[in-house]
Amino acid sequence: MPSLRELQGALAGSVLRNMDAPLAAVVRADGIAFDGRLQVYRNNTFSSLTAALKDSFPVVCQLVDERFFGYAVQEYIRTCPPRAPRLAEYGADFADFLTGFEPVRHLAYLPDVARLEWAVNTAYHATDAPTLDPARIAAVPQERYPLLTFTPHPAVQLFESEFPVDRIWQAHQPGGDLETTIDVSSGGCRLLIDRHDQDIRFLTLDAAGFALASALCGARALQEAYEKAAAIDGAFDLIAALSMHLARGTFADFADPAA
Amino acid sequence: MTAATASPDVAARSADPIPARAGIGLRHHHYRAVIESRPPVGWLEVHSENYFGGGRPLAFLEAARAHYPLSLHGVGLSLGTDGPLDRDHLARIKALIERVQPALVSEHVSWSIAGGVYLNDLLPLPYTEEALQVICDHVRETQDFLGRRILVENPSSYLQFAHSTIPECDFVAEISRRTGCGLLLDVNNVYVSACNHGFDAHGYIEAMPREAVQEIHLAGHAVREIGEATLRIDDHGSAVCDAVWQLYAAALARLGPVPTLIEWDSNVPELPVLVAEAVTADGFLAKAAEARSAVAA
Repeated sequence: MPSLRELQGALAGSVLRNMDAPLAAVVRADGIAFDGRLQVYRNNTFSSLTAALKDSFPVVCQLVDERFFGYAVQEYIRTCPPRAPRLAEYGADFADFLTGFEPVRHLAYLPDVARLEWAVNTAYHATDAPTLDPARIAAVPQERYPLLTFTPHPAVQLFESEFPVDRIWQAHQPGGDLETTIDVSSGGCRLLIDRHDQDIRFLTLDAAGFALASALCGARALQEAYEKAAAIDGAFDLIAALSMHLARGTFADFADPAA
Repeated sequence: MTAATASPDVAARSADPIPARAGIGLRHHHYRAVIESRPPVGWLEVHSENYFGGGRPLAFLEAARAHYPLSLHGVGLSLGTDGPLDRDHLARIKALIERVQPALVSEHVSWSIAGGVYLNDLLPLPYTEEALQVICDHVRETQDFLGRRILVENPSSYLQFAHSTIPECDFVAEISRRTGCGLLLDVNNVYVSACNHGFDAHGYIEAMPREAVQEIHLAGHAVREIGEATLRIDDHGSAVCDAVWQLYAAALARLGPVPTLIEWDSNVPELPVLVAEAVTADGFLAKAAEARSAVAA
């Protein structure tokens, strides 16, 4: 008789990898063969996880069609099963899986669509937090601005792709324009994704604006972040960019090392 | 008759106890309809794991909570896994409890995690002394961590282990006896498992310790033919069947009125269909309350 730990390991092997044989002597048949009984659990796991992934990656599902999506996620579930009992966290590495998945190698933009959908999910499920009150920054003496650092709001996600996946995503939303053909080589996108009144928003940034936002969200000081943006665009308007982020609520907090 | 079946420690913890009426499982399809139409149901239950983040789900839950008592039903703690409980998961449950002040908190007599992999299903335990000790330790750890009593739900299952030595009903009752936890009696699960494994559903309900049962679940199930045999699958995808209503009436005759939840998770219908099921359950609860007061008089 197996220990509980051995039994649970064997059942997980049966569900995920069809390894039913070790359970032949442990599962009572009672009119239905033991592997028929195990198949019920396999179906439950795969169908519920497939539904969860379809909820998280609806655009990828539409792009490859539902049947192929079912096949791809079956492979994904076997290779990268959930590690935490929280479905909102499952799928973080789906884009990486698609990158290495031979049958979709010709769809070079597909992993980036998955990455964008994951960023949208992350923003959607992020914890609530107040946004930084711009008056708090206005109260800081200007000479201390260069060393200020910021904490991004938990919902803020930065996303960059060499493909126009923002337009692909928009076209596949309810009521989206599926008629217009999108040329996948027509240029990439740089986005700041966040949540406003619980709705997901996309803000399109240029290269310099994206460099600033990435640096600030990566806890770089304002001076250093500005230099990264200015290296791309010598005429970069820092005050306008910072005001815009403060007004949108990109940050939850800031730190002033001189205070 | 409000909360007559809740034990004093649970009732005292919450300003908003679950009444001995029918409630519904709140799922995202019905967020807006529930908040806008405020259906005549006594309380709501949600899956805790869907509210660990913020944003829209939590905002809807808080809006609904303003109008209804709430029960938090967990599906991910995996009390039956031989291995450490996920303390991060427990901490998130505790934070959610503090935020939405549920009257009841429940989990399952099953397991979902092995070797660090989460199977997203409620798998059956072997009914052995070893498994009993594992789940009792985890129930105690959970109750200590949360600082409150939890309920555990009897599972539906599609297989039995040859080395089980304890009848399931005794296994479930013993968890409550050893840990002081309450029980969530899922009448549909009793029926499904009784049909699948050939045990007596009424005898199972007779074996439940009366004072421990603080909540009942009802749901629909599917019937699948496998070769010559039939297996009932607990898919929460249809109306409660007549046989389960009859078993529910028998359970109420033994237990008195107990807060009862209608669950519907696949092929989810429009809200009025779900509410109609709750109204039917309320009819059974009213009869059980009458029978009780007739006995008292």
